[in-house]
Amino acid sequence: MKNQISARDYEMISAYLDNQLGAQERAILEARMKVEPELSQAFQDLGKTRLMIRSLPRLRAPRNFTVSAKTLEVRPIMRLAPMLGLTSAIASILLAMIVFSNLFLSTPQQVAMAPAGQAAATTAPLIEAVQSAPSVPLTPTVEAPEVLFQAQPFESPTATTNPALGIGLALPMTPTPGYPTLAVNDQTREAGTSPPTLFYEQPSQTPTPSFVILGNEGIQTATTTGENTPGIGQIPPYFQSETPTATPTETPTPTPTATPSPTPTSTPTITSTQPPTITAKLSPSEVPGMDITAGQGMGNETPTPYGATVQEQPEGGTNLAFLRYVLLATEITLALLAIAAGLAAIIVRIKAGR
Amino acid sequence: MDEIALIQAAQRGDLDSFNHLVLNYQDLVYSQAYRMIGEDDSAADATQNAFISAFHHLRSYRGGSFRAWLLRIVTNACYDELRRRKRRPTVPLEPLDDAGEEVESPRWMVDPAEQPEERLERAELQRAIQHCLDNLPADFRTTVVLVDVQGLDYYEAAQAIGTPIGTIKSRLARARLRMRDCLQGFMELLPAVFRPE
Repeated sequence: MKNQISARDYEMISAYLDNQLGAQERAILEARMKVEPELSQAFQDLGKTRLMIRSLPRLRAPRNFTVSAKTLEVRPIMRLAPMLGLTSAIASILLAMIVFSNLFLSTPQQVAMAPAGQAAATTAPLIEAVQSAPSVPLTPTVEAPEVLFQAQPFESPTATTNPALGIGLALPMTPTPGYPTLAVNDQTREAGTSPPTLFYEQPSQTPTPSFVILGNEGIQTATTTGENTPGIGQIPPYFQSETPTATPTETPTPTPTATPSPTPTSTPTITSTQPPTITAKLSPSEVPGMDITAGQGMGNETPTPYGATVQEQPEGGTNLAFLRYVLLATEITLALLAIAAGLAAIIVRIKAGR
Repeated sequence: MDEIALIQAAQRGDLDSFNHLVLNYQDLVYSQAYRMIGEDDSAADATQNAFISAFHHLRSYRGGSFRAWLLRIVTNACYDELRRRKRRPTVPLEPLDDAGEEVESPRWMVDPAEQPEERLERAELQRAIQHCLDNLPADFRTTVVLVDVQGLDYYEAAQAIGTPIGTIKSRLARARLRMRDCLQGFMELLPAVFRPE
């Protein structure tokens, strides 16, 4: 039966007919053909088929196929196909290189911050003081701190009796959890009057920053000692007290009471070695908008560490953006070139094949 | 001039030396092309393309059987032609006889010493065999033509196709098996010696 003969058997028979079997395999096959009539019949059939195929005559060429210089000339269009393919390949490689290099270069650059240790040392007490207070969600019933712009001119930073109001931080005078309160002038504030404002001023002559407290009672100047000089970002001692301790008749001194004051050794985190020059100008509108609110940690805000981030964006950022645009344009150009060259090569080869 | 010298001269760009080689091998190459394609005009085109390609790639010949190297080139040219014909089927221009077969006039196949009856029988046998060859898959057809028609051994056939010898053995056995099954349909056309007992 034909179905009893495997493909392997037919392969051996075919190789046997061409004398391509080894001696051992030949002997095994011959022995099997003696005892297996189907295998012998398959051998006969395959042999006749091979003879029939070999009976086909070798054909003669209908003409001479010799070549000439003209027939060997390569059509110019055929020369384009390899060049187009090579162009596509080179463009693809360049595109891949630019994309990968752009990925490596586009890591977010870390802005040079102030020494983290100093910033942490300076702002940590502030943050702790704020965070330790129970957080009070701002509701319409809670007076949120706000910057008031009073149209009262500020004439001189000296002690005068002008009821000056300057731009500063207006704090809710009523003791409110979560908000530091002024330590001065609280008792003497009359109902209906605006809360006293406080701003930070440093006279140009003295390196030691001073506090000028403006209240309804006039301008009172407080000067701190150098050791307890708070810097930018550091809460003056007045803000740290939750209960008013200083009396209006006394010269306000930065006397910390309940809340821990910053240690004398802690220095403000200022990258510049020179003390800041923040001066109050004549009118409230001219006072530079100090971000005291953010720096003093009102509510749940986190004080902003001062440092390089306060600076304006340098020109290097603009150059970097321009470079990225250039890289993007290059990537797009290379991608289009690779696709166009590849398609052109394929079209040329297809037309040449026809 | 022996074949090696002709090949070396042709590799240096001598067109006359190459044409000598063409004249020596054009029957072999055309026969291979015709058995693979089954059409004389297409076979002639494939033969011409094969020789042109052979001249351009002569430097890739590193020795060994030049015949196998040439047959490899013409085999690839025939594959290209078969793919092209598959994309665009051609209509035969030759008239058809009553049986629907093309009326061919292969004058180059005529043996003047043959009797007309013998010539007719041989022609019918060859037509049947060619019909069965055309029904084989391309790779089977190439193998059986190289070995059984062209007379190459397994090693040369493996070089011409670019496959291992084991593949040649397997394809050849399966091709012969299919040819046996196909030719049994033309039993009445087969000479008595080829008819099954």
